[in-house]
Amino acid sequence: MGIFSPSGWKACNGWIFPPQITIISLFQILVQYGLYNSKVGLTLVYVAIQLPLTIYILESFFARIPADLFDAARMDGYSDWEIFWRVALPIALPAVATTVILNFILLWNEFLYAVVLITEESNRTLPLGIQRFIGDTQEDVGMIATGLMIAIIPVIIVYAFFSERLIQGMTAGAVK
Amino acid sequence: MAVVAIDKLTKIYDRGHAPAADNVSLNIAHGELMVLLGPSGCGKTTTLRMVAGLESISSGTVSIDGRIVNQVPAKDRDIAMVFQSYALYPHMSVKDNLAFGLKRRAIDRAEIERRVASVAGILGLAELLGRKPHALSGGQRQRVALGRAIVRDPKVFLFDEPLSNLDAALRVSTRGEISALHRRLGATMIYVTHDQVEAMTMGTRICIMNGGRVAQVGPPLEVYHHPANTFVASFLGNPPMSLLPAVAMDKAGGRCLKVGDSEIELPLNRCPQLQPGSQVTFGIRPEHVAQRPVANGAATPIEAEIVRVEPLGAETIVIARLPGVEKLAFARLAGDAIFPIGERRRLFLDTAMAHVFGSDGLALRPT
Repeated sequence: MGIFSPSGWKACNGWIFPPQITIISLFQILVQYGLYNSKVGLTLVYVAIQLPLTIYILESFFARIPADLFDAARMDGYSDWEIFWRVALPIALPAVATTVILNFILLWNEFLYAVVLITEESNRTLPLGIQRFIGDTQEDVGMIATGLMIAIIPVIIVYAFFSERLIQGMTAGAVK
Repeated sequence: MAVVAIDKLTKIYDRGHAPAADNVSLNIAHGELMVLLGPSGCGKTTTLRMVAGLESISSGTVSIDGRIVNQVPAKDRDIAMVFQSYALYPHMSVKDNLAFGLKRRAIDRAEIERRVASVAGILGLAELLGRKPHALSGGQRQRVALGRAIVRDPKVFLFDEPLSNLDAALRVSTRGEISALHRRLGATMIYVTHDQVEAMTMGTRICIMNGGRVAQVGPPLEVYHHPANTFVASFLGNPPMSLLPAVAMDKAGGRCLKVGDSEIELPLNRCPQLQPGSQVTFGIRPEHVAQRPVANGAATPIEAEIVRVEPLGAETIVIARLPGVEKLAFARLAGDAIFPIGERRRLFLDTAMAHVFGSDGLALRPT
């Protein structure tokens, strides 16, 4: 899939414009729907901003699966839905793992949307929590470092779990 | 019993464009290995996919054992197909690949095990059952693809250029394996290829296609020796039949063709319906041209300028041009034949084996 294909272009739209441009409109939308200052609202925003990249990666991977495999499964007696679950999805697992890791790392550490769209103490995300150790006149370096250490543990775990799949996903198609 | 009847099968992808398959009619008897042969884009794979149920049919019918299956889904046609790309499921082991089709058909687990073991034994895959496709060589993958078709014990086998991804040596051995398999199973098979050697060596009959249409159907040697038109004549054979424009003439004691500046006498029975002055195409196979006159064989002399010589060891291919003729002619001569390029030499034609095609490209049949 080229960058100028429809889905490639849509994915690019998500990257080309700086996130600050969308902040005010997102803020207004969330307020309008009563989702401002809620985890559900922030989650919906995260899904919306990461969806183009996720579709871009997954679509290009699924499109590379040879059509003969689907024909073979059809001859073997499987329906379209079964072919998706039993043939396409297992083959696309590296791409799924890639998107899981990328999205997790990006969103786990996401700060800008969280700081604008969440003000409630109880709904704060981890980066906002760490920010609390930075004051106007002084900062608790020890606590910041501790917070960062704690924050990266899940990232390391997810990466360790999916890394092999991630590498497969990144290199798939490089060799026949 | 599995008899496949294809009647006026047509596939049109885009209105206004030429059909990919155009009025294809073909009857394939039980136990026959029918080869669909033709150049790229001639409609052979489209026809095969319509028989498989993977492609919708624009018009015409496909029948299996007398039952029209146009509307029957691929999975219910009791057909197995071997794909050009093998189409093995990369995330499954060889064993799971073989069993995948059987599992869907709710066959007893013990029976699946028995069938997989039996097919693995036949194809020499017993040691490889635990491996994934990426850990197999090209030939092994091809055997797994074959096994996946055999294990289902279908009525009809379809092959879509199954050997085209193999190297030359492996292609020869796998060709033999498929032929042996056909003899062993006695099943009805349709085999698509653009390789005439595969078609000649494996096919019970060959169906040669061109531009979406059937050009000729018949046993391999019959099609080779009695091509119905200039396309079949030039497509079968390597080097191909020499096809040279000619004009029919009357000559005392027989018929004569004027090919460029040369006159070639023909036995009367090669072209009984030929009218003097008519524009025809003279065809002769390279093996019917000789360096020296042969009694009861190549004895008609002709002068030709040697354009190119291709020594192949066992034989030498000589490409020559007859005076006054633009098109080149081919001769298959002995391996020790020496011909200096550019020199004019005398060659001898076996005119009893020559072909004459009318201005419409159709063969004028000898009596």
